[in-house]
Amino acid sequence: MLLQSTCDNGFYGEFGGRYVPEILVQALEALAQFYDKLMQDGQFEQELVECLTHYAGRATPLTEVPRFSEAIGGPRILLKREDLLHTGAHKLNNALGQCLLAKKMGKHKIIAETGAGQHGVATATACARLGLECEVFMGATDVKRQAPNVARMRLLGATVTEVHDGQKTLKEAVNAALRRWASCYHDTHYCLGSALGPDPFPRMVATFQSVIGVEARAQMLQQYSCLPSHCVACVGGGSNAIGLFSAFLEDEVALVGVEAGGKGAALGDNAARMQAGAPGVLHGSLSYVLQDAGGQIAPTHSISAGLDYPMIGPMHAFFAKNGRARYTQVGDETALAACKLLTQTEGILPALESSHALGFVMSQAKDFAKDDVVLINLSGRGDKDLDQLMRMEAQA
Amino acid sequence: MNRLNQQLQANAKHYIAYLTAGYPDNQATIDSALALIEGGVDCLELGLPFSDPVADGPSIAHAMSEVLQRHFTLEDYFSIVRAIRKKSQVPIVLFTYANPLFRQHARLLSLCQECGVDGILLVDCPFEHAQEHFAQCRAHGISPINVIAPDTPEHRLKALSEHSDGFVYYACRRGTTGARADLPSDLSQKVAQIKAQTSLPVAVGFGISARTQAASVLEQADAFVIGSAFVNAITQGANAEALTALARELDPRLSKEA
Repeated sequence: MLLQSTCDNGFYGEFGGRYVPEILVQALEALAQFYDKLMQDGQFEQELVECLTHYAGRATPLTEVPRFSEAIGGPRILLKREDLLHTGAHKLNNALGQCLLAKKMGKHKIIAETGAGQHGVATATACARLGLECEVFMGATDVKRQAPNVARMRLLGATVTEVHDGQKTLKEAVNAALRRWASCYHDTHYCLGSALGPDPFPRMVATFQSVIGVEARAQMLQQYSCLPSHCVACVGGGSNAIGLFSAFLEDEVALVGVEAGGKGAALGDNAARMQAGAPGVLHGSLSYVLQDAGGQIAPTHSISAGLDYPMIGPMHAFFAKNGRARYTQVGDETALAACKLLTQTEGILPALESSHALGFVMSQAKDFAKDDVVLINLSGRGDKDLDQLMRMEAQA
Repeated sequence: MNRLNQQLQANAKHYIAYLTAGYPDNQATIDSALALIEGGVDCLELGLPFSDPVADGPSIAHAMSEVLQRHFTLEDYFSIVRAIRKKSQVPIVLFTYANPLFRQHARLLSLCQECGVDGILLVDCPFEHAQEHFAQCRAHGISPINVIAPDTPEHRLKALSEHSDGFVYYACRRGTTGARADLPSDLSQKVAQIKAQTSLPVAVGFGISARTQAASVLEQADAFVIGSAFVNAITQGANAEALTALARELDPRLSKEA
C-alpha cells in the first residue's frame, strides 16, 4: 500500500515520529516490531477479516442519497455507510484490529481514550468479545455530553475513568491514557483510537481503517463502474479520513478533509488545525497543532466531541503539505443543518462528526459539476448525539 | 565549561531539587529555590511549564496547570533564573517538553546562555529526534541531559550517554513523576549498568521523597533528585524556612543530629 511506502522510520515527510518520554520508547519499539511481524502473517489477516465480516457486519453498503443531493442542488452523492457497522461507527475496525493484536501479544488488559465515546464503545465491545479487561479514559465534559455511550461502555464491562484536568475533553483523556500506559505497558496494550500518536500508531490505525477505502473503491467500480470525483471525510485525529483516502491515493480523485470550524476563527473557538495551527509536538507526534506563541496547546471548540481535538494526524499534515489532499473547515451551524437535512431527506441520522463532511458538500454544492460523483464517508450514526440535538433544538 | 561540568562530579554525592517555575508565583519560586539551596541542594532543576505534561504525575501536572492560567511566559521564566543567579551559582537545569522548547528554540537557548542556565532536560523527545537540538545546545555551552528508563536496553543506554553532558538522569521506575514510599529492587544493578557506560555523574529520580530512599540511591549513584515532595510542600503552603528544613531533613549526607 502506498501509505506504508510514504512512512520513513515513523515519519511522513517531516511529520510523525515518536516524541515520547524514554519510558515509552521500548513499549513502542516492541509494539512496532510485533505489528510489523503480524502484518506478514496471513493467519492474522484471515482472523481479522472473519471478525469484521461475521461479527462487525462488513462490508458496509454504499448508499446513494438523491433527495439530499436535490435538496442542496448538488452533485451525485454516495455515502460509505460506516454508521451501519456494529456499534455505529468506523471505530470498531481499528478496535478489533488492535485488540486482536494485543491478545496475540499476550496483553490481557486494554486501555483507551475516548472523545465522543465511539472509540470507547468500540474498544469495550472488542474487549467483551475477545475476553480482555478494559479501562477507558474520558474527559468529564465528554462524559456529560455523551452520556448514552458512557452507559454502554459500563454495560459492556469496561471501567470508565473520568478525567478532570484542563478542558476535560479528548486531549486530557489521551494524556491520562499515556500516563497510565507508562506504568503498565508490560501487561497492557494502549488501544489508541485515531491515526495519531507516536509511531506505530498512525500507520497501524490507518491500516486497520483502510478496509473502508478498499471496500468503497471496489463497490464504486462494481456498482457504478467508475471512481468518485471526490472523497470527503471529516477529520478529528483523522482515522476515518485516512481509512477512506488510502485506497484512492494513486487515483485521479480529489481528497477533501473537513475539520471542525466550531463557532469562529478565534483561537479556542474551533478545531481547524490546518487553518490556524502550526507544526508542533503533542501526544507523541509532530503535526499541525493549535497552540499559542509560547507553545502551549490551545483550547478547542466543536459541537462534535469527536472532532474537538487540537492536533491533526501526521499523515494528513503530510498530504496537506504535498498537496495530495486538501483540508477545509465547516462550522457548528452548517454541520447541524446538514445533520438535520440528511435525516429528513433520507432517513439517515448522521453523527455530528460526519455531519461536517456532509456540511462541506452542502455549503459548496454549487461549486461541484453536475456530473461529479462525491463519495462521503458517513463515519458514524447520530443516535449518541440525540440528547445534544434535542437540547440545542430547545434553545433555538 | 558550564557550572554543571565544573560542579557536578561522578563519585561525589549531589543533591538535585526540582521546582516548577512560577508556582505558586514568580517570587515564591525564587524564594523556594534559594531556601532549598540554603538547605543543601547543590543543583536546581527548574520546570518550564507545558499544558500537557504527560511525563508528570498529579503534583507537578497540577503545578504546571496553575502557572499557565496566569499566562506564564519565557520572560517570567528567565526573570526567575536571573534573580536566583544574583544570589547563587549552583547549576540550573531547564526541564521541559518538546513543544514549548521547539516553538521558541533559538530565543530560549540564547536566554539560557545569557541568564545562566547550564543544562536542558527535554523529557519527551528521544535522542534520535533531538540531534539538531543537541548541536544547538553545545553551540550555546548548554549541557543536554537525557533520561534513562528502567527498560532502556544496553545499546540505547550507550547512545543516550554519548549524547549527554553534565549528568545522566535515571528515572528509576515506570510511570510518571510523583512521591512514592518504596524504591525499585533492581536500582543498584541498573545504576551499575549505567555507570559502566558513562563517566558522567548519574542522578536518580522519580518517586524519591524520603531520606532513607535518598540514602539508598547515593550508595550507588552520584546524585538524587527530589521534585514532587517539594512541590507538594509548596502546595501545602510551606514557607522558605520550612523548605530549608525539609531539604535538610531529606538529605542523607547530613548526620541525623545536624
